[in-house]
Amino acid sequence: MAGISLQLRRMVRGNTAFSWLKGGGYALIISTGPWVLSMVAVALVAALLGGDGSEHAAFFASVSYSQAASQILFMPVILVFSRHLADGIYLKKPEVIGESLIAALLVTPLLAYPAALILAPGSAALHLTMINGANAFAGACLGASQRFLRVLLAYAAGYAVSCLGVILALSAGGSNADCVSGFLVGQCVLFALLISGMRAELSLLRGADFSWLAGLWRNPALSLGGLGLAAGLWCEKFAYWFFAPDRVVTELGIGYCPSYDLPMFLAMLSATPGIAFFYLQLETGFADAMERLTDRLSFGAALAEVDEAHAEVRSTVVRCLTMLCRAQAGITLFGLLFAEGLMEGAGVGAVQMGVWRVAFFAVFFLVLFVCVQALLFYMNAIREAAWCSLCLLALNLGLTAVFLRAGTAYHGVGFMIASAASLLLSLFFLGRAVTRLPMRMFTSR
Amino acid sequence: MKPAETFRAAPPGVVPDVGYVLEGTFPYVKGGVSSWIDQALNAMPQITFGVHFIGGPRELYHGQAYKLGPNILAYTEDFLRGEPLPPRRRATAATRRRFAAAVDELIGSLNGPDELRAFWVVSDMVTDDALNLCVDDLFATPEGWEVVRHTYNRFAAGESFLDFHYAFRNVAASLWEALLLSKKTPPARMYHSVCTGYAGMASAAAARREGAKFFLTEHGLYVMERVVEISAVKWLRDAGTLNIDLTAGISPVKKLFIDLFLLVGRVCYHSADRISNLFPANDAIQVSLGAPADRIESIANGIDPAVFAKALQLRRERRAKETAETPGMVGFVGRVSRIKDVPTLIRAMAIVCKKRPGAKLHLVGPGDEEPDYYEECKRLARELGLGDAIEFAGARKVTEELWKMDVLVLTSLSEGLPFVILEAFAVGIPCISTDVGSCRMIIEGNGSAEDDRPAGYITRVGMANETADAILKLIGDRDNCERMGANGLDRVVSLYRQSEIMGRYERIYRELADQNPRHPHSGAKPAEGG
Repeated sequence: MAGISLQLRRMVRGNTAFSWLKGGGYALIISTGPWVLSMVAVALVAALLGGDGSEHAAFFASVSYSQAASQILFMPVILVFSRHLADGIYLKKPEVIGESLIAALLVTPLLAYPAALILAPGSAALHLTMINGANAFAGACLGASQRFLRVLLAYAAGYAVSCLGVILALSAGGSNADCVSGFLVGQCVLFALLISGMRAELSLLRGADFSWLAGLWRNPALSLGGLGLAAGLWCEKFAYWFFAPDRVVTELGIGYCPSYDLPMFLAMLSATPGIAFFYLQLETGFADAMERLTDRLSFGAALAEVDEAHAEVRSTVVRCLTMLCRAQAGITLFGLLFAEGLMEGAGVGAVQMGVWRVAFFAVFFLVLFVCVQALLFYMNAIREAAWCSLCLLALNLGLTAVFLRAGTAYHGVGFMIASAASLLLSLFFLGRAVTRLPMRMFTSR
Repeated sequence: MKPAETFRAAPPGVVPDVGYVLEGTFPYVKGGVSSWIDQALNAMPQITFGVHFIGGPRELYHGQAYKLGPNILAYTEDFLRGEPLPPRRRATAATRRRFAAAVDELIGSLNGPDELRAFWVVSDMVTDDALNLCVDDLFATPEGWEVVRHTYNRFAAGESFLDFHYAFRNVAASLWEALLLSKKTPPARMYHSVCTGYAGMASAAAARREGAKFFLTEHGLYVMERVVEISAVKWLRDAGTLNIDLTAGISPVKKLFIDLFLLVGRVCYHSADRISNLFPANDAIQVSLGAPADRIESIANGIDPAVFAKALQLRRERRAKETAETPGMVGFVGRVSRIKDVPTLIRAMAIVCKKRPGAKLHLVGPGDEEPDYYEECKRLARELGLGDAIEFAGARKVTEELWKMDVLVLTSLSEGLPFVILEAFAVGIPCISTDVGSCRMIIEGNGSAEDDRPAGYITRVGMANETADAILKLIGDRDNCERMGANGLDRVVSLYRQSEIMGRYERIYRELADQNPRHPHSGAKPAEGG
């Protein structure tokens, strides 16, 4: 999110509690906004539908499947796409945004097609997967143009229409499949809003630019890393949906695992403040330190000055992660101490208490892991980040397979251990990347 | 047009007598050293040669300027890319650590008694394919990075690390590439390099590999020329903090650059079994640069005066028709490059033209080696109002141009024993030169009773006024000009005859080649070549 750094730094310049609160809020909106909105929208729909949710499980499962499928299928492509946009903007070629987007939209149906293997071909859920991908591309383009608030407003409006669509479908006596269609309408509105915000970029259009697709194999670390991360975050959910002994198959023929899904869904929300907090740190203190190091390297400083700036980067990384660790530990502790009250309020049954606790621990490790991944990306340690993502995928798959046999009480344990182990690996790589930062900066020039 | 021959393999079982490793000269570039090589190849048809041309980037060379004769049995050419291609496999961590330690030891031993041993340790590792080392193993691995930091702290602490890093990397990559190229140098019974630098280093490495003797000849002083070049590099900032010998007043980063070239020079000198220069005054300089004194001898350049007989006649006829009022034609023959300091000559011409309107400068020589510099010279001529007085004639045949000149001028920063002065003498032209290389000796004579008649004037480097005064003394005084021209002609005929000089080289070649235990005989008759 190039450019956001400057805005955030401007906000926290006063160094008062209010300025940090303002910066933190903005970071929260920008970093996790679309993701939180999607989860809040689903939760809102669930609340509006009432009951224990089993009646509309097919709807929720369809939305979850399409979310998971779109993330796994599009994440590697989006990373390559975003890098291409960033390079284009750096080279002062604004036309790259519109031309690349057209190409991306043309390949979106092809990319989404594998989702038909688990979602019925031609179903609304498959279309939802496609439109999710298209929205991700369009959002990346608007982000590249630094119109972050526009992205957020579009997401807010889109999800509002999605909620409305579901309610209208239900009030008209529609089925769960109709609800998915209603949800899909909102996502189409979101797409329209995102595209309407890109009039300037699209006015420069001269054709479709497919060149960025070559980045998929030219930069395998980036694409494989993206695939590993998305698949690593979702693979154990698919495992529970397909193989858990207590899974339930909906009328649309797709399974879900109520004992795992809801606690994990709620625990994932606990990641929001931590990620936002880290994001604020990343784009202010860390970005400042990196800029100083880059300046010193670029403008011919002596090695002692470079070392000084390097030490500052190192201490900023340690500070960022320590503060994140404390903040996330506080949230996790809160979630564990007040588990019963929170679960009661969220309508989670006592059976899921164990999963809830495990999920909070897993999210604690996961937040740290994702933030370390962000640092690795920032330092251009793409290959290392890819190894960590693939490690998460492999461990999550393997350990979930092991713990699936152990019964409901062990749901999520595999994911928790995989997150913790991947975090350790990513911290190892981070330490190495920070130590070698000046060398890598020279090497990549 | 027949395409240039880029490769020639020696017949099976045949090893050429002499291996030449040539850096940016024959057969692609015309000029002093290339002329000498061409002359040697033609003058010794009974000796067989293997030639390895090492050039800069490919695009700088536009066709071969010389034909490859029949006694060149093997020919190969390589163009430096600036950085060698990395091997397919990565070196192991242990190898990288060992290599980093070897480089660190080499850097630490610079100018010390162990530097040559340390150099060959590094060289052997670089050229060992089995180790899979590449330049990035020194610059993009933690082990190598520590060496880079260590070297910086040792040589350039406080300077721009960016400048240091790129300077160090560039030099290391170039030396690395040259060492790798030495593996492609054709086998020979002995090796002869006509400079130190990359070619000298590659020759030394090839001789070491083949168990052959190595003969080093220095026409100019390569290291001195590189010092001039490095000093002119703008992206290496000068700190003005040092005051050591050759590197007076230049930044530590440049000093490291120069130190590495000096190391290469010392590697060449110590690897050479015999060393020659063009004139005795260079002995002391070579010794100061690290050459063992007992291996040095002087062998001058020579020419065949008969080649210039027609030009001599034409000049005489032209001069006979002219009067004392004829303004005069000043000549320059050579590459238009920084080392020739052409702007000083142009400024001198500005003074000459004021005092002797109508005088002209006929500037013969290619400008493609340093095109920016060539344009700078043309711009300077225009700015000084000499647009009509100076003709940039480009590359021409010397035999067809010299007769037009009344006096030949060189304002070079560095020279060896310039052929062009001998050639000018053969046409009866007096010469003016800066006091570099052997120019004083060939213009003023060697001081002995047999050779003390002046054939021109010597000036100081960069002194346009002195050059202008000398020009005026010759073009303004026809008798003086004729007398000095005649002295030059006598000198070249009596002391600088090609046939005698080439005879000395041939004896050295035979002596060194016959000491090769692996190849006591070439296995080929010269007639078989080509």
